[in-house]
Amino acid sequence: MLSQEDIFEKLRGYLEEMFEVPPDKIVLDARLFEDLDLDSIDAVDLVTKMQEISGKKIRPEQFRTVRTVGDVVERVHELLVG
Amino acid sequence: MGLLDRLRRLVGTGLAFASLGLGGMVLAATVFPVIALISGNTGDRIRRTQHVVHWSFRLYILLLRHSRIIDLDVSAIGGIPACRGSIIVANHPTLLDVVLLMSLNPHLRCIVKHQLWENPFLSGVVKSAGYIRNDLPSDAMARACSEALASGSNLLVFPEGTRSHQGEIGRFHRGFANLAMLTGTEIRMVLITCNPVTLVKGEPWWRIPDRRPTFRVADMGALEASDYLSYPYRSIGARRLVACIEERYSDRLAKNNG
Repeated sequence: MLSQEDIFEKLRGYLEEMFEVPPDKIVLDARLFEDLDLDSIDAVDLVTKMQEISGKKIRPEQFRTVRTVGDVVERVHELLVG
Repeated sequence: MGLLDRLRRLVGTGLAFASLGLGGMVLAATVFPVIALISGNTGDRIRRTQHVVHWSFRLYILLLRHSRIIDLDVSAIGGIPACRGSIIVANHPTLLDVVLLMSLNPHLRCIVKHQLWENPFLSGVVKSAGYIRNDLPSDAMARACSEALASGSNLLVFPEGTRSHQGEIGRFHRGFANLAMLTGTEIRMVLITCNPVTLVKGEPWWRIPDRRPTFRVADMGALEASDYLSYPYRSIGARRLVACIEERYSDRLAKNNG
């Protein structure tokens, strides 16, 4: 079972690799759109990628309220626990 | 002469604005319902509506030129009129940009502010012409855009998302680049300039310039989005593609201003 820290580490990796986000900007309360320059298409790509670690199908609606890096970590963790 | 000319252009500009709204409403009340009635399918309806819009705007621009309210320079129009099935991107200095481009190419569809679906003057046009709402979720948006491109329509996108600030470009959104890469579509770049500037963001229509403005629509060539597919992620390719296009626009505009 992945801990929240593990999920954060994976997410950090994806953000750097897929969206060229500078590592020092990736903190839990960074906002995906405003601070990290993602757009809605990137968000869909990210959700698809997060499915790979959770091993569960994620519906985009489940991520609709996600605003920050911390929200993503929490949502994926909930999916793993639930 | 100066004052009289200015007054003439002021009245002309006011009439031009009024006729744009009225024209849209009249067409929506008369021509578009007829088109809907005689068109067997959505594709026919959209194609016919686009032609009506194209010819109306051609006439409109012709009138603006003949009444000497604007000048139009199309000496560098290049491949714009013959373009089919492409994503056409343009900078967005003025309110007249959409009208100009639609008058120059008969197969344009655009992604428009969802508020226009409620606008009494323009909702008939945007619905009948198959324009795409900007508030669709990204998967539905991608589907609507690919269908439009596959039918041979061009998709007009102003990547800044709003009108430019004087002589400069704002940051580009990346939606069009992702779409181009997903669909393997060519991106045609169009440069619009207006000198002296008029109808810019935040200016009321009646604040007209000292002399008659000249609009220029120029072809900046095309890029193949598929050249950017070799990056490990589409999201990276899209960023590079957008950066490349932004740079071309900044260079051209810097040359114009300098």
